[in-house]
Amino acid sequence: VIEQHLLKLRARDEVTAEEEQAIRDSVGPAYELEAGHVAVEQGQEVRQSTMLLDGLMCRYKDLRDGRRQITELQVVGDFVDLHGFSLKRLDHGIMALTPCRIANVPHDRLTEITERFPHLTRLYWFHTNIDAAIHREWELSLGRRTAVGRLAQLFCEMRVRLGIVGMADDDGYALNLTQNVLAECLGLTPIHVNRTLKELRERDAVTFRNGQVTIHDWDRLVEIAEFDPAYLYLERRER
Amino acid sequence: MTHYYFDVLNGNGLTSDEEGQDYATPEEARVQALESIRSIVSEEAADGLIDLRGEVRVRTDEEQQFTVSFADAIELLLPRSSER
Repeated sequence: VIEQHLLKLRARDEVTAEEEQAIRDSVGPAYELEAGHVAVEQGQEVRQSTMLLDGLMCRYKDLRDGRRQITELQVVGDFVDLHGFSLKRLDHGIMALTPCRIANVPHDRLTEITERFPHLTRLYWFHTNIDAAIHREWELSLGRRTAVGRLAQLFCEMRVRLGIVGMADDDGYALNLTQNVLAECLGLTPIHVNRTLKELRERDAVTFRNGQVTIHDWDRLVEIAEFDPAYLYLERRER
Repeated sequence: MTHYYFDVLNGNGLTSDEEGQDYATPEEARVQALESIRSIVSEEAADGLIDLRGEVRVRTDEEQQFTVSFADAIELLLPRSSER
C-alpha cells in the first residue's frame, strides 16, 4: 500500500527494515475519495496526517470571492499534510483533484515514531523541508516567471516528482488535471492556460491533452522553465 | 450548468478550447472571458505590447453563443496628442 511512499523516502536516504515496519504499522486502512472532496478544511484541527496512495491532491487557499490558489500539487507517495503533525491545524485546505485512495496516520503513531526512531524523525523533517522548497519555487513562478515559464516549470516538476515514484518517464506521464486546476496552480485563467499550452506545443516542448503530458523535447522544456531540480534535493545521503 | 468553450482569436492565431468549463449562466461565461482577456493582455503589456484586436468566441456543444472582443475587456485612457 505504501510502496510509493517508501520509494520516495529511499530516493533521498536509506530506510532500514525496522524503520519500514514502523511506518507500515502506523498507516491506517486505505479508503477512497471522490474528485473534489475536501479532506481537510482550512482551520480544521487535525489529529492525523494523510498519505496519498493513488490520485492527485492539492494544498490550497481561497479568497472570499472564491478565487483559489493551489499552493502545491501532491502526488502518489506524498504525506500530504505531515506538517499538520506539529501545526495541529492547517492554514489551508487539502483536496482531492482526481478520484484518490488515501490512508491516515494518527498523530499518536507519529509521536511514537519520533520517540523511537530519531533518524525517521529527521527524514520526515527533511521531507517537510522539501515541501517548503517547492513552495519557494512556486513563489518564484507566481512572482516572476511568465505564463509559459510557470507552466513549463510545473510540467518539469511533475516529471521529476512522478518519476521518483515510477509514474513518469522521458516520454511523459499521466496528469489528470483540468485547465481550470492548472490555472489555480499558476495564477492564470483556464483560457490563458489553454493559450499557453498552445505556445508550449508550438515550440515543440510538450503537449498536454486529455490528462496526458507528452514531452517532445525535455531540454527545451527545461530551458523555457529555467528548471533546476536542485530544490527537490534528489541526492541520496544520510539525513 | 452549461458547458462553455472559449476559443481565442488574436495575433497568435486561433487557440481552440477542447476542454471547456461549466457555468450556470451566459453572464458567468462572459465574466470568465473578460477576466481571461485581461490576464492575457496584462502579460503582453509586461512585454511592452497591448494588442486589443483579438476576440474570445464563446460556444456550447451545440452552437456559437457570443463573442467578447479584447477591446470590450479593457478601458484605454490615452494621452491627448498635445500632452505628449
